[in-house]
Amino acid sequence: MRQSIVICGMVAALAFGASQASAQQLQLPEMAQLSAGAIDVVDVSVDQALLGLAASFMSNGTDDKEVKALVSSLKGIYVKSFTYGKDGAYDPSVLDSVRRQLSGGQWSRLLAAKSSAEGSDTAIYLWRNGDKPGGLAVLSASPREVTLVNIVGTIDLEQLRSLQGKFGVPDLKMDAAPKTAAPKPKP
Amino acid sequence: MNPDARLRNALAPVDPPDGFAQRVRARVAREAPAMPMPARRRVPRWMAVAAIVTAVLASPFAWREYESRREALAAKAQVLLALQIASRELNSAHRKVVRPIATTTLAPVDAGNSGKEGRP
Repeated sequence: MRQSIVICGMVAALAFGASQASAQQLQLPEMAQLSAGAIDVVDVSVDQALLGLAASFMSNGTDDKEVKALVSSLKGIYVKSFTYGKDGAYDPSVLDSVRRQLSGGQWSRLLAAKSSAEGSDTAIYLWRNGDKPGGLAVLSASPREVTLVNIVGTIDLEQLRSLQGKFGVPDLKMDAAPKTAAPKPKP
Repeated sequence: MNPDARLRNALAPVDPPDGFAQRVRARVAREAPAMPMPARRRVPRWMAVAAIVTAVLASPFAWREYESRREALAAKAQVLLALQIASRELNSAHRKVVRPIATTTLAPVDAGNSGKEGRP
């Protein structure tokens, strides 16, 4: 009798934990819905096991140490990013399903920036369990680019922001110039 | 005797004494150091077989180790790429908030107000 109570408790705890983790994980749109017409596609899906594997190969150097600390509390990172060669190459309504998921439950919008000139719409959402943040979602859409980011786990936003420009990847300064303007090469 | 004759006599071939060749061979045999065996014959055959068997048995483990290392490095690259994109988007949104321009409509939402109102 006692054994069955213990087993039931464990199953319930596992189910609760799984539901908590899945609540922060968004159902992102199918690749085919957004990748048609895209000239550049990034699809990254890293679950907790892969995160652990990656962390085990991070050294204690300055940059790696910073990332290692950041990912140690994460349970998953899911990113889909699409770049298009012309305006209106994707159906904006595809993103509505993601917006619906973010408009309910424990998600709260941290900030939203909408530019009518650029036609861009960026929103950042935080998943909270009480006061404890447990996930992050970024939804960024412009006429030629769509980016969806879903990070599951506790994340330090300032630490995440500070990563740009490291690891040999340049600071892209996306909003420094209109998207349509081609970057001029430096003399 | 003229110098030519003296030179011819001095350089005239002389037969070695009897038994000279045998004595030389005996002395060489006595004094020559023992010839080392070729190195390849010094390795016992069982050791060579053991080395080959070990290499064959260990190769799957080595391959697995190589594969897991490759997977880990690929995962690390994916994590870094994902974090870069997330960081870029955060910074992009942050710049829009801290440097508002006339054409940008900003709607920072406080923590208590969730995004349940729909599209931002």
